[in-house]
Amino acid sequence: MATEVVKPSVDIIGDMAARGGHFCLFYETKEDLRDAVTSYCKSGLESDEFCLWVVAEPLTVDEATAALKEVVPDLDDYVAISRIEIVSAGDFFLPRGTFDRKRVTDVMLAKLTGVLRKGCAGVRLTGATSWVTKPDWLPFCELEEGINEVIGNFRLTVLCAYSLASCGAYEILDAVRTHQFALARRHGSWVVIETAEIRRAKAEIKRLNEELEQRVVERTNEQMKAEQGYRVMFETAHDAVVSMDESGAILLANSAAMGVFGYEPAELIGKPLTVLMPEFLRKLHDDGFRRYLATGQRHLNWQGSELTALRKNGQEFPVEISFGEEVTADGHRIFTGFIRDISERRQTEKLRASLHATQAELARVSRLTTMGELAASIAHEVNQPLTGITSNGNACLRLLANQNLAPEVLRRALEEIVADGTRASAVLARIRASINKTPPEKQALDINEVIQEVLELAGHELRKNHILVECQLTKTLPLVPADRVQLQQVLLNLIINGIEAMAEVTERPRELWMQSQLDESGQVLIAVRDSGVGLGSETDRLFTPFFTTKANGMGMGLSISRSILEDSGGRLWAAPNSPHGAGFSFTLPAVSESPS
Amino acid sequence: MTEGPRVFIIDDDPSVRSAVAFLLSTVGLQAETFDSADSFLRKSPPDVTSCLVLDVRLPGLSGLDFQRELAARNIRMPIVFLTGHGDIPMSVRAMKAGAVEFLTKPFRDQDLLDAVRVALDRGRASREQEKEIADLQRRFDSLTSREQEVVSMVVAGMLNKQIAAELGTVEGTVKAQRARAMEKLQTDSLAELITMIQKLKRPPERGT
Repeated sequence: MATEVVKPSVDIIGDMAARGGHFCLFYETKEDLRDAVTSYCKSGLESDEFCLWVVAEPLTVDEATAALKEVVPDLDDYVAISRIEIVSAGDFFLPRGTFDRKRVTDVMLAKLTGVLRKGCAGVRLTGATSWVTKPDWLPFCELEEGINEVIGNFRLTVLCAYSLASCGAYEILDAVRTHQFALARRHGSWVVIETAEIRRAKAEIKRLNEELEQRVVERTNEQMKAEQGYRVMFETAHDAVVSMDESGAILLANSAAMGVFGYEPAELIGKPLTVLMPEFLRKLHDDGFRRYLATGQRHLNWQGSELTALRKNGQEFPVEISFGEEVTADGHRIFTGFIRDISERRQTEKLRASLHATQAELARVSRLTTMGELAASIAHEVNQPLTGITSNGNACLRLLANQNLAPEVLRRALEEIVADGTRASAVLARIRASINKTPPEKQALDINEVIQEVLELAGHELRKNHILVECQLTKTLPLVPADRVQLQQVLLNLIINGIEAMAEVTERPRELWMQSQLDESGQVLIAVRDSGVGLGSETDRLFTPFFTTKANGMGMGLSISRSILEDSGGRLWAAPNSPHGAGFSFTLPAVSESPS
Repeated sequence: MTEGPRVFIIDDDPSVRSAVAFLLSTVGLQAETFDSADSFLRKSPPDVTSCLVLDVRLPGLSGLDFQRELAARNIRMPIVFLTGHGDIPMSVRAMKAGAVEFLTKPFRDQDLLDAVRVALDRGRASREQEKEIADLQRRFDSLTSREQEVVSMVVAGMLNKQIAAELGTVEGTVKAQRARAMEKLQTDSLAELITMIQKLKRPPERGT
């Protein structure tokens, strides 16, 4: 379990002590012990450490003091400034005649912290173990182990002296086990015995070092592979990748930059980044970049800002830019942008928007027709020619009554009447072509209130068709964001569909159920169900524009209703009603609580 | 010989202008038509009983702005408003500003003729009142400034004695000045004097 290492140095004690740690010393003679410990204390004092010598048999405190004074002539000065204490083991370890490990540990810790606070470079303890009696052996070993636990926390060196003569094999084994090093006097010279644990620890450190090295190699390989990967990505990316330095000059551009901007990557290197921007953005960029460098304040979103870029041929085009910053090992800041040409996407978006606008317009026309707004907007324009017609007509009637209507006067009046009539029909045609196109106005609506309004609107139709309306409206529902007129239109549409589906029903009650409630996901759920003829097999096509099962239907109602609801973040779907008829349900999100 | 009453029709729609003029002609009313408020304002108002038939929606100046403009120019002509698509707030504003009637196109012919008749009656009364006030003003202007002062104090309710004290003269002098003023104003009652002065101070009723 122990290996011997022969140390040629005579002053091996001082060497060992200088390395610090907890070691034991096996001595044969009183002189060996005295020389070893005085040498230990002398080197401690010389290196400005506090020394505590716990003296036990075969030495006495006086002998120890005298011996130390021989090698340290100004020992009294050290004693005067409490740099060294020489005490008897009896006083230190056995103040009440018994060994109390905990008390000794506490005293030692207190002393340690005390002297270290006073500014000593470290602490050296030494003591002989000859006082340890058999029953105290185990607790004493525990003390030694305790020292090992705290020794790392303090600049502490401990030298424990064991008499080879009085130690049996077990004691030696215990001593070696509980110390980091052992010193033994053999054949007239000191020998360092390294314990197995130390060897294990050293081996472990070596293994860890090797492992670490291995890891470094692996990491380096990985990194090289990754870098190669990045390189491939960089060069094959569809998006342009451009890096610039703190001055705003381009450091790097990939080959995709050619496709996006029309510049060869080499052409770009060294040019200011602003060559890729239209004139109006350059100053903004420079100011923003300067501000960012100075304050860290970002003037745009680094992840996916949509901006305008400039091709080499002078063409401006929309791009989406994401960028990041890295600081190189030598402290330079590099900014890398990923620039995606989104011209095509914009085109698609525009198309989608115009499609949406068309749909919205259809919805609007339909809404105007439904709500009679069309009539109101026509009134003004048409009333002009109507006024001409009625006034001319009435004037003629008056003259006729007075038998005072000259044919020439009548002819002129009739000509004007005809012209006004023609004009009125032209006005109607023009208005039909240009119904106002204001976008829907969303507001927070009480769905139950809208349902009641629509039931009133549809009241005449419902009564005329002898339909029973059953309302199950949940009170205290959250408000929903929608355009009131549009929502009315959707509900009206569903109700009219229900009425028409029940037109031929005679053998059972015609019932219309209106339901409002909160669904599991916290959305407002509205259901309109009827006891009509049902949906048949065409459920899937119901929402397709221009699909209709009605003789006079346009096939736009459900399609428009669905787009209105989707526009407000809701959904509309159909399902058969049990046992008869159809059910249409839609959801609308609750208005968020935050004030806006 | 004085001319008959005149109706001024202002509407940007030629067929409405001509048809309304034709309708008015059937009851013997003479009408003059204009396509805008500006063209009407460029012509100096005739010295006859008159009224306006006015579309609220005119190009340039709106009918209601025009109504204000007339008041600012001290042209007191009763107005019958026509509207293609009248709303209540607009008609309320017009009526408050003194319109005679607010008719929605197409109107019943009798409603327009009645409204025009009322407007012309008011126009006639207003002209008479204006004439009376002009006459009163002329008489008042013939007073000496001291006589005007005395009259103002009498109307304010002061006794001769008080007026004398105020003007630093004797009661007899005030009495004489007062009598002379009453004579020039062609009145012999205090009550009539007060009414006269009030008429002079207050502009005639708006829009009548």
